[in-house]
Amino acid sequence: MKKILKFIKYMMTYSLLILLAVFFTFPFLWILSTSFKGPENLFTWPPQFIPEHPTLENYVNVFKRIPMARYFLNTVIITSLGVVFQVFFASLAAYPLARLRWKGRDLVFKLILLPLLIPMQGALIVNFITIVRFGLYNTYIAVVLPSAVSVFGIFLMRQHYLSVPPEIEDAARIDGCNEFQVFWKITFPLVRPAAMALAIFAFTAHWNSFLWPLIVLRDETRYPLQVGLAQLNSVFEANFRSVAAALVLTMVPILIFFYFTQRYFIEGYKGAVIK
Amino acid sequence: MLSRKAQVYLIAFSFLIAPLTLLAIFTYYPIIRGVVLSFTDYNMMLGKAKWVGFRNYIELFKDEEFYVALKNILRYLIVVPFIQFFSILLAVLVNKRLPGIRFFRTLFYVPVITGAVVVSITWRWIFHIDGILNGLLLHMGLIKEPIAWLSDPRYALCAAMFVTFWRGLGYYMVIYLAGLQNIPSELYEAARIDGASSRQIFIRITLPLLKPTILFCFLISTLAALKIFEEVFLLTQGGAETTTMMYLIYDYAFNRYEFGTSAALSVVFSGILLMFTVINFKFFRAGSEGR
Repeated sequence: MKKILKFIKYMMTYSLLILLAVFFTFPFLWILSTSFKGPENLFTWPPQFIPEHPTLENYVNVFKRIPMARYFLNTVIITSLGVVFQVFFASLAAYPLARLRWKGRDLVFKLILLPLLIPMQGALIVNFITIVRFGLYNTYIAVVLPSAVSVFGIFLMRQHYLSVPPEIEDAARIDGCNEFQVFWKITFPLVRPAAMALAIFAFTAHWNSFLWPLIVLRDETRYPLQVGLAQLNSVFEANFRSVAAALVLTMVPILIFFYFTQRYFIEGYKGAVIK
Repeated sequence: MLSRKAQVYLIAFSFLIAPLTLLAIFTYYPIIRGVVLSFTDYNMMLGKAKWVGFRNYIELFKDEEFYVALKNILRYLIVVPFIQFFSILLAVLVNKRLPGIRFFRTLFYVPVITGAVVVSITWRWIFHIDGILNGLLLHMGLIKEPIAWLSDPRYALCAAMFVTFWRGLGYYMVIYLAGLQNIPSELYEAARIDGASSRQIFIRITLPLLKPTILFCFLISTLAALKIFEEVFLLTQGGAETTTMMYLIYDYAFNRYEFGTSAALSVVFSGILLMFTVINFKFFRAGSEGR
């Protein structure tokens, strides 16, 4: 009797999980099927999930009409720059705030944290003006520079640096390492999981960022995927098939990336949120 | 030879100088400059600003769209409790040790990882007048004629809110999952030995220990709801009375080139955000005292 009850409970849990999986993925499955559809009516009822006359025409169309590969490359460049900047600057800035003793240290740390408490929406326009003044308008650097130093990142790295026992560093100093070597060869490797978590946050943020690149980039050849996609509708007016193909092409790489790194996503939050 | 103290200062300085310079230019400077800009008429071409006093603010408060945007971001807050409630349930569900559970976690996270742009464009086609949603509702006989989800002011904002809800669930689910997994399992074992039911365990152990995570998630999702932009930009282009503060800030600056008014709106909006942050932090403090 107890076994049957347990089995029913099992089945119910899995039914619920499958139902939710459908809820979260059906729009994408629909997009996927549409992207292979020929000239047949898209909006039939019941919706057809397996295309009657599957075709790759829509994909050919996308590559012909918009520089999809270019968008992808731009996103990769912007995201890589963004991740490297955020991890590097946060690791660098957090080190003296956690590992060195100097007067005024806590004051500097508090000042750095201040922006977390004060929401500044003015940054959008002012930073745009600054970027134009620096002659950086329409460059990749312009996209990543304003967010190169992540206050949250500094906070996260500092918390992890604090957990490193000072004896290890002292030993390295006695062995003749200078402070930068101590940082780079001893302390930083010990907090690599935190750096990894930060890298993942930075990755998702940059890969999906939209508003800022939309503002500081002018040439279509510099657009990242997200901005390029948003312009799609003007190119393909009412051609849902081509839009669907472009959406699929955008999704596939990030899904593959996520499949291989998902372990770090959840671990990253575990380290970041609670500490 | 420098003293040890001076050496430490020099080292700290060399580590901090580059990050602090960037922070100063792109984070601190805009706070001050933004306020100054809001009192001027800024010409992007010439890079010159003319002092106009409170004119931008007056223009802003006369603009009907400002009040629509204000109303909309407040309405958008309705999403917050729903997202939090359901993502906690989701987290509890996927925290079970079952075969294949990682696969389901991955699937639930797909809308998050694909990003706001892909998600919004996808949903725009679902909400299309001839789209799959109208097809379903017509077929089930729930509606008699197709609904213009994205151009009817009665539905457009709700549609955007639903998309935010849908793509936010997985995000908070993962944060809660991390929170749940940080709860020591001894506590559950002890409670079970004492004969507590699963519901009692959830209310007496899980929820109280999850409180810091819950408050953190409430804060970030409140701010995210107030700052909503992508969904509105991509679903309705601010039409059908769906404009929001961030959309209006963008619209003033980059469609109408009224940088001064945009800055003025930014200042007002920052004030609103600050207010909500303070409210949330009050809860935070109350929450941590309650523990």
